[in-house]
Amino acid sequence: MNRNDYDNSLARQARRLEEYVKIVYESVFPQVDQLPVKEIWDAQKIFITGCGDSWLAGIAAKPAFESVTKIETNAPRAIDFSRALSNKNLGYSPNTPLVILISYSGTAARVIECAKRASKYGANTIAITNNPNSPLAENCRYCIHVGLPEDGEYQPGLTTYNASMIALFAIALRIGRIRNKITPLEYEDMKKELLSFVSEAQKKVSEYEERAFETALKWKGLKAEDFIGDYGDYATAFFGSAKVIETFGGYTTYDDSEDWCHINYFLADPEKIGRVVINNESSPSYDRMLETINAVKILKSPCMIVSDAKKEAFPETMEVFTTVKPKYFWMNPLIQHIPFDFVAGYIAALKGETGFRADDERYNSDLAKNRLKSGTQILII
Amino acid sequence: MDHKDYDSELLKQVRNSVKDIRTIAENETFEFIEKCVPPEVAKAIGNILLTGCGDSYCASIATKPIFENAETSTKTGMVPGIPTAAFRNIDFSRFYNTFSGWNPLTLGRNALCAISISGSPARPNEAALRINEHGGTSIAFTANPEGKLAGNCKYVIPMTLPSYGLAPNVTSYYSSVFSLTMFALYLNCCKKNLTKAQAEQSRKDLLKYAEAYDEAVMDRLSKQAFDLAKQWEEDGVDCMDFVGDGADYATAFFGSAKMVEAFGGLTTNDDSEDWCHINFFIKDSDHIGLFVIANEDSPAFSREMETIQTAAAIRKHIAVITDAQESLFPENVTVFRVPKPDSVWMHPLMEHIPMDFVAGYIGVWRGRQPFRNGEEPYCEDVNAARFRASKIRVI
Amino acid sequence: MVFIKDFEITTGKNSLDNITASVNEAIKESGILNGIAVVETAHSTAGILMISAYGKEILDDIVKEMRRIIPARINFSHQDAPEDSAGHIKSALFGSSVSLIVKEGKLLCEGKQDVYFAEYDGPRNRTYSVCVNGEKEG
Repeated sequence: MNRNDYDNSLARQARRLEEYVKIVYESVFPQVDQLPVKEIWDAQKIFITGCGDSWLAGIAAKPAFESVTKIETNAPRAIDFSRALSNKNLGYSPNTPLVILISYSGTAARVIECAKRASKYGANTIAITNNPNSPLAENCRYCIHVGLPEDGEYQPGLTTYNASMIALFAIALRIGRIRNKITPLEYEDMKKELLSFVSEAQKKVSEYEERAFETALKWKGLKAEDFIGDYGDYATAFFGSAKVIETFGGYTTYDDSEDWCHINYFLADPEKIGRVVINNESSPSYDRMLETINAVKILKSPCMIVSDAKKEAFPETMEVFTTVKPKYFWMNPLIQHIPFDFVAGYIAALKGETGFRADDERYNSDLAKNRLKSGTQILII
Repeated sequence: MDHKDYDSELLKQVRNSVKDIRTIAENETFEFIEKCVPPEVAKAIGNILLTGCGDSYCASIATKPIFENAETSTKTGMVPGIPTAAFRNIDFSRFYNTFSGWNPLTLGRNALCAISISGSPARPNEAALRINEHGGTSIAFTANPEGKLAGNCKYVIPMTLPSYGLAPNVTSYYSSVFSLTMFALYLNCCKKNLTKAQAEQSRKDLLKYAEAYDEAVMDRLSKQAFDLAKQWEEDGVDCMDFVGDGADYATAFFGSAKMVEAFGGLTTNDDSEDWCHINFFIKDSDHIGLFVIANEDSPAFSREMETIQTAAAIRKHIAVITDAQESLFPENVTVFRVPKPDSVWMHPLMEHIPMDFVAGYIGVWRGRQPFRNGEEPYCEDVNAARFRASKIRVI
Repeated sequence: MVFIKDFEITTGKNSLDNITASVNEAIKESGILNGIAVVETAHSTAGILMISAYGKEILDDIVKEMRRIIPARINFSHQDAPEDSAGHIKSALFGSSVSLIVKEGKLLCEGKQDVYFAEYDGPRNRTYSVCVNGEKEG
């Protein structure tokens, strides 16, 4: 079976990982450098929100914010920020919290609603978007334009996910630098490492692709994919799960290492469920995840592990994708979704599936098309 | 056969819901809570941190708004109470403040409510040991006051737990949600966010709401769940998708867990917004069942309605749990109309009942053991470190 | 003749590093007996200072006093990190170079004053240069 016959958008995007990261890096860092010092200084709390992949970028970048800025950072679901979040979190001090709102198009109704709510309480708001003239940008104090070329192939989201993360990392570094939580030397080193880490990762992309294609051939008949990841790696797990749905519309689920042992361990037909585990050596829950992996082994589920640890750390029966180890642990989410992106892309191609059910008119009615942009916006005060 | 002819330990728990809540409430009064956590301790608490595994984590999400918003009458309950966060247990034990450091100004004012019925799993114990290590207050919510968790916590709120045979737990969820609710009201009383009279009134309203699930309502919900489960089984529904927002996300998560525990059903969950971005695209729309929790007074109701309408255009199997009029929803949607409480935050105590029934009936029909008890390969796990034997590491 | 030598230094946060030895090293290497040694750094948030050679307490006083006179603020027009913005002002006011008299192959101030690299931000990797201009022996 020739892999080239099954080329797909996710694979094409993954191959251009480094190129796109550089474009965004060049675009966002100079803009982030212009964010006013006083308002950044005032931030006592940080919220990052968005929908789908954009929300996940916030979860992925949370460890970076905590590590570099030392400010309490939360990544709530957009609907929870706009509708359920207690107003105790808002309006208690000038320019705080700092609310970072992510939407590639800048048109998602819920994210705009979040921006409006935050603004109403005097919070500082920064939009991360590829459309600086969008309603989201207009409803935020500042806008970071990720600068992706408009004619690029970005669906299903991979490049845009990384773009959001790069912009978030840039903001985190700027805050950390301004608040003296990282030294100028560390700041420069982190900036440099961001590019060199991605560059090193790029060298392994073709190896991932080859092995991911093999995995896709084995997994294409499975009943479902089940993802397990903790904290920042939970974003990578959830992202993989979203790609299953977007590419071939498959059944999928996700959880953390602890709750998986309490719930998804009991899923029926474990041999028909592909388990994808994200586990890094530097993670505080590394040992717990090893116990969880052992439970997966007992269930005899097909399992792929994405980790910066060596293959030998895991059971022999599992397909281990060892990724480049970054100097700063929080950069891991930037590349660790790539192995499963390839798997999802190839399973879809092998099944002859069209992404986002583009060939099914039910999914493309006016109602369906408008479900994200034209939703009613409500301002909860 | 009629729905009443089916029985299981899970169905027993669901059918006894109101009776069991009465038993739980008899024991868990404000006086009882006060004896467990003295007022001066409660008064000094500045931040509430809720955690637990599985259902206990769901109970944390379900009750967070009651701690956070002391107000009892408005629709949104947006009057500040006490800053509260609900954590996945692994997130609290291993990651909370690990990268940013603990704030020395608030260190001693943090109180962790660690929830575990048996008190024996490693992770809530690890969480309690961690907060102790950092000088905070640990409070165990457990039905085993002599257990490990109780021993590791500075204060213990013993929970009442009517006993049943091995089954997915529903009664323990009532017990957790009820105990946490009582503690939240008591705490806000101690902190002068509520008067004693207001707290008592809230308790009465909550019990009144539970009693509203009377025989007729339970019979209707059981029958509806039976018919829905039968239809879904006949139609070959092989995956279920659960949607809820805010505290109702707890109900969605809880419902999805019951399907897994009862018969190993494949499930997933999300909020109403993200569902439109992701799960909307699941391909086999004819064989997936969708549950949406959409209460009229929920701040996210408008979005939930949009999501239901979008789903109704592509999916065949949709169930809505709501206190709103049936006529608001599309015709092809099964509406489980549940009683309306005085405050929207009361819903999570009871609104999971229709899903519990569905899990119970399908569990019986598929003949699967609860938690795959005795089934291969699950039973090989005796010595594995899934719960109790997991290594405890205090960060 | 003119002799120039470049040096690298990794500084600490708001640090003062004694670089007198490196200046003497450049003078010795140049072979110049009498003339002028100029020590300069091109960085805009660092400087070169001459400070009394008696007592570490003086260094502490200087660092503290500089921070008192020009504290890091968040409302400078230059919107970089507060320490960085204050550093530009310190560098401009206190100078980024010193000129020293070289007499009989030694610094005239030897034993009384030392030459310091002043870091107004940091830690950073920095460079500075010593230029010796004068007459060689014979």
